[in-house]
Amino acid sequence: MKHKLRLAGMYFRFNLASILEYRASFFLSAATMFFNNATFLFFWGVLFDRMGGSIGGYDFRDLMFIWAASSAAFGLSNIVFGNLTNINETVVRGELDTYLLQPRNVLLSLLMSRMSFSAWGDLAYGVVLICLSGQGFRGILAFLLAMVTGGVVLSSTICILQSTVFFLGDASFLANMSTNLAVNFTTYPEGIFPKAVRFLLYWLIPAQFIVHVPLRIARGIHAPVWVAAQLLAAAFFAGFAMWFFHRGLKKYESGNMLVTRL
Amino acid sequence: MRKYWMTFRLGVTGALHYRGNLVAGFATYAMFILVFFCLWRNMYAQSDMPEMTLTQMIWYLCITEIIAFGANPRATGGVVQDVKNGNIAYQLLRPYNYVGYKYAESMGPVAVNTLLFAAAGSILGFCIVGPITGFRPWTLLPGVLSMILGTSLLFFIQMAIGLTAFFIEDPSGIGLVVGKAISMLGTFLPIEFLPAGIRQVVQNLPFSYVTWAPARLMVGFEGGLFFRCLCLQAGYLAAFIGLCALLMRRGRRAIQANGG
Repeated sequence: MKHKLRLAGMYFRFNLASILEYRASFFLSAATMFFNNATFLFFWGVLFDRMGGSIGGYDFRDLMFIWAASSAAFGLSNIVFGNLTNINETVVRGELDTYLLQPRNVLLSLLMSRMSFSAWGDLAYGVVLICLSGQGFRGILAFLLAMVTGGVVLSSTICILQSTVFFLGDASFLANMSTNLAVNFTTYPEGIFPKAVRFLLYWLIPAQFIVHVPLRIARGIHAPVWVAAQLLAAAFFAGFAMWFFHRGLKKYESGNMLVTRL
Repeated sequence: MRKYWMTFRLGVTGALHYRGNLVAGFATYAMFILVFFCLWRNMYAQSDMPEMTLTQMIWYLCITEIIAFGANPRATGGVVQDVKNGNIAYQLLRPYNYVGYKYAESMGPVAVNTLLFAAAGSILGFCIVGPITGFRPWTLLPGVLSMILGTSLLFFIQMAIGLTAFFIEDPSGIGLVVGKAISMLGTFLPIEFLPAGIRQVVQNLPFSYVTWAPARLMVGFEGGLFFRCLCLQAGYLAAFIGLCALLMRRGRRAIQANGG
């Protein structure tokens, strides 16, 4: 475990140094993503104003919380595991051999081999929004919990969907949808969905454990129980994603492709 | 005209070959519509909305998302690439108008994707909310005309943004701002739902005439509105075609070609 953490730390430092070489592109990508997220507040502001301040049991402050938590979790996930959305493509092109030859954890090396520029904008947006939303101390703690554990759940979900490539041959369909599928449900009030959909949002597309459960913790509704549930869910989805990837890896057939990583 | 028609047909053939991406597009489209349905059903249950019925609203969103998913030419990226890698100098030697060629090339996939997404959207709309009460099928014709003008307007807006690459290093920021304006001022929300002050401004800007005008005409046709939308769409289209011609003329002077 110590070795893995050290390796992760080195990947992070290396990737950060790499993107800072292109400072202008980095700041532009981050700023445009920040702006992109901010425009949705206009949409929601109009709707909440129209509905007298409540939609699906959420007020505007709750909505700001779920947007902040969702953006920060997504940002952190794509900063640390920037190659998450390229698993399908890497396997289809037969480029996984490069990672298999390295004497370190394959999944960790694959996920951390790049860092997303624009994800820094998502993370910054989440932090700024939570500061503007007027949350108390418990709200800030719940946000930090969502950012880390929600990020783990989000990364695990995308990793599972992308890893279906090992079983399907080419999972472009699921891979292209993976981010939308994982993120889309995290930016709407939970109360608008029927009960059956809400059940799916706990277990199939675990949007609940990315933003809605942390919101319950922020509101102080059975907080200790939900904190425990959140931590268990993060551990469960991370464990399942790792098991699923390694299970699929056994089916991988090398394309004997020569690739150089610089 | 024949060369542009051939380019259009090549675009149609190309679009029919990449069916895998379309399946993912349909699934994402359906997911967006279902989430919007959950949201608006909840809001209509909470409060009356005199501007549109729930059925009209869902059909409105089905149509605007057809344009966003299927009829988006995404012209900016290709032009920026051509300018940055110098390919545009090579293309300007060919016996066609560069902007006209790009228009014909984009409209092939746009035509195929729009038809396919329209089929998917119609099935989805009928399954979720059924037909609009009092709908007159002939009103689809002016709606389709408005959609063609809206898509062309979107192409020339994107082309104008792309052509600014002659003068600025990276116009993707402008593209993002304009794209967001189109999404927020008509795609996700009919402009009738915006606060009065903002609506007054928005209904005179070109952005709403890409998605709002065709969708609004299809779900609730009004003769006066059709005439107004048609005039504004045609006017803005002419303005952006003129802007593209101007940018091309200025941009040509900035090209430095070295033989070898």
